[in-house]
Amino acid sequence: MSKWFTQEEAFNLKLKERLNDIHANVAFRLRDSVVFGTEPLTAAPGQPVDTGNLKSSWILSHPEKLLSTLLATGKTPDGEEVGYARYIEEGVGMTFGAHGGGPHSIALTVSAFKKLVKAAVSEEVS
Amino acid sequence: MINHYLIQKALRAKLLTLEVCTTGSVTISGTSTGYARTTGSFLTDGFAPGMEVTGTSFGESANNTAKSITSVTALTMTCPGCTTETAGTRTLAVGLPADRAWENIKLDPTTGSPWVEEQYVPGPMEKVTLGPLGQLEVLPIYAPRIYVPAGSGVGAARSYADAIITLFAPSTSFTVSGHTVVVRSVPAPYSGQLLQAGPGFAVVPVTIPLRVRTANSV
Repeated sequence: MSKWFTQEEAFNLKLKERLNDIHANVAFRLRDSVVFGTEPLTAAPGQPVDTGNLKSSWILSHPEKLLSTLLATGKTPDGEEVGYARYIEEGVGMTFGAHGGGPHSIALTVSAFKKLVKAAVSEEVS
Repeated sequence: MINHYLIQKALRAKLLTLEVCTTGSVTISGTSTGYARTTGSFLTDGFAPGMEVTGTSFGESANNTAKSITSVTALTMTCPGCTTETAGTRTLAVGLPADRAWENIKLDPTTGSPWVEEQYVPGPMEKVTLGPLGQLEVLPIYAPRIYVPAGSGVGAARSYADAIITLFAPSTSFTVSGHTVVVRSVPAPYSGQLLQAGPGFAVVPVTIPLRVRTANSV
């Protein structure tokens, strides 16, 4: 009986580790897509760079519990406001192209979110 | 292969059929400041300041041309450009604004009049079925933006956005040159926060996630 419990415990631990790995994989793919535009599965352009403030304002954190991630913008680490982030995302009143990046990075990432999860699972399980 | 040009044209054609609100066929008169009715309600019909209204069946051509609403009560609608005309059976309706900034076409918006801008994002593509002629799936985004006069409140902006979302309801599908284009359910179409888009306008963005499938005939 005790051997059964030991095996079950080991299985649960392994499952938890796998879940954490998949979660982290998705979180980094999310960041790569929205911030850097380097996630081909979403085709998101990433944040445009002029001063670098917007890009550095995106913070990936795990605020509550292990399997929760927050990717947010608002201020740079130096306290610079980036209230224009929403205009960038919506492509309103902005001209893009000179420094790479562009609008709709969040929309494209949300749109292809299932693909990110599928890819992360495939990568971690294989 | 996927033909994004034709897909965008089809989406645009559908957007042109937008119906935001209408009086239906009722008794309306023209006044020196706009339109008037004695029964029913322009407010209940959904009209709001900042919309562009068009009349039909008026004898005076000025009352049939598109014009911006500056204020609305139940029985009166104020819109500069109207002329006095006795009551008769007519219709007032709001559709897609006449000023349209299609992608890569320059538009100089008219101060005080709403206008629409479109953006089309082709999105990622993936081969989703087996074999050399397996199906390709693409996830484009169609993103109309409705600009309303600054200071006109939220009624016009939100009504335009809601009407667009209704027009592109989840699971709406159409065929374009052999492609099946479907409005997605997850995520479904959504509108964003009203943003000031100076000078003189506020904008509400609408995002329509799509799924396109086609045979890989390359």
